[in-house]
Amino acid sequence: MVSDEEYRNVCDLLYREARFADNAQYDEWERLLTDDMKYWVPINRKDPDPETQLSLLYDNRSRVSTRIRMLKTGVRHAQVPPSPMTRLISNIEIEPLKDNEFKVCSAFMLGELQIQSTKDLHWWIGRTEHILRRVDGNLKIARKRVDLINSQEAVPSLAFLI
Amino acid sequence: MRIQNAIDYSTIVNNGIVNSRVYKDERIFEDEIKKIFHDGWSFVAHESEVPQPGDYVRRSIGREPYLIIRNRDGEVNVISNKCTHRGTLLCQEEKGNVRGAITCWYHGWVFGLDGDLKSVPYGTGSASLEHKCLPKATVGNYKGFIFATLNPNPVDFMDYLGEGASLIDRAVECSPVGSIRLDAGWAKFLYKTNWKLQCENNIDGYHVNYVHASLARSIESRYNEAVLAGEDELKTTAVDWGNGHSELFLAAGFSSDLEWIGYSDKKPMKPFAKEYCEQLREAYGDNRASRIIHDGPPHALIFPNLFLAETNVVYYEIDQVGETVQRHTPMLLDGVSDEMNTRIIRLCEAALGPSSFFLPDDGVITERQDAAFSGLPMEIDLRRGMGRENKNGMGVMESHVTDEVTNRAFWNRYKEVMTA
Repeated sequence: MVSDEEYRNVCDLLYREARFADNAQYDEWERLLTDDMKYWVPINRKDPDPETQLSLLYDNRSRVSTRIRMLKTGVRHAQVPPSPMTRLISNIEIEPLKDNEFKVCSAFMLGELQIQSTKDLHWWIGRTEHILRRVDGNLKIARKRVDLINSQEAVPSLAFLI
Repeated sequence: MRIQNAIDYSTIVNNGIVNSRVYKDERIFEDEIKKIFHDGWSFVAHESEVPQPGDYVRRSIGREPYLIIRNRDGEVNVISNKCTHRGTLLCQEEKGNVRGAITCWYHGWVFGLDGDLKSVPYGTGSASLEHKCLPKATVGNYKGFIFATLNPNPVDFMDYLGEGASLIDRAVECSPVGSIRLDAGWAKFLYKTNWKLQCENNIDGYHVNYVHASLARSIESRYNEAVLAGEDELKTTAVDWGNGHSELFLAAGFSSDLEWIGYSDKKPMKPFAKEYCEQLREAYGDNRASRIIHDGPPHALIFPNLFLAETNVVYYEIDQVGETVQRHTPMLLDGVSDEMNTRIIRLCEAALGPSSFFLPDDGVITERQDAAFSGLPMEIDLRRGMGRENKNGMGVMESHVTDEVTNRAFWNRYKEVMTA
């Protein structure tokens, strides 16, 4: 169990992160991350292992930085202009871990307008697992894993921050 | 009643000029399914995907559902995935093991691993079952790469493969034991484009500066040589190997060993990378190992649908004229450390797929191309570098990396096949 205050702090962070990602506020998004953050979107739905299996993405902190630098060049064509997006986050469950960390599981639905070429409206649906860590009094994201319900099917461009 | 004339492919594809209706016309697409994918050879799987008897993967040949399945004798067959009774898909999962026999869950017909009909429930009431085995495709296997055709009398497999065999050799020899495996799983990227635009893009050395500008401005990579140098400074070449197979020979621009897995003068090799070099020297001797360590695997398209994408394997299945699914997987090497293969998996995620640093940009640019073709047909001009290619005695043509010799290789073959 976590206190009501902790629950609210965690929700605040998740909603803020979602807003930054939806609005292509890349610097603000990146400032929510710890220095050793890992960002992972597996393909395999059952017991994925990034060491032996292909993922859609498996970024260490330096690769996340590269991803964001690319988005900020203005010539990352797959996100020029950035996709208009809205994501809803729900079903939030929090489990305290040791060392000032929390594991947070949630569900999301993300509507994306693929404005760069096809103008298709695409729904991305899945679950997220965050590991949050308190650093100097602030909650930060130490790990983000996103499991798409259709990760094993053909998916269109996923060049934005999911 | 109006009878439509047959398509005249000799005017649609002509000497480096391609009429854009070739990417949009449903009738052309139907012709391609028949002539390229049903009657000709295309890549379907690698034998490492089905290691044990009964193991299968689902694939399509054109739109036809097939199973790549290993039988009890260890042979890999390519058999129809449609029950011969009423056409139900037999295996729904992408991959699995059929445990001895393939059972249709509609009426219980049972087929063996070679496609033979074993039994039907209440058999005395059924009409003749003699010709009710699952149709088998004709199979060609080169170093584990399995190609198939629905044509019972196709052109000889090795004649089709031609110099494609040496491209596969150069991929496979990156393993010190000469063997690769595709068991890290496939990612599938959906493009709203005709499949041929993806084939063109993969072996186009001219677009890198613009399509991939965001990556070049964000990191140093082995593509910088291709991105940042002036026209005369580029050492990389584009090669037409014949039979529609072509290559961007990136290694000509590499200045360091193992640049193809991200090492350079500025980034010294980790112990696992040094160990890998030692393994190659032990296996192949200094000369051959030095070449492999420097060059790495090829960046090449094997007509029509296999893309040897350096340390990755990519192929296309086609279903609709304006939609293409590109599948990719890292090319894992047998006989090397786990660390080396994990490195190859990380490279795969960086280069290929919907959230990688390269392909989403190729995807959106080619989708814009495909969208524009909805208007009046136009002439696509692929004549860059025509006439300045170097030809060797074997008919192989090599040119400046930005020359469209690779695309012409594809289209020349396409025209041959479509007019045959």
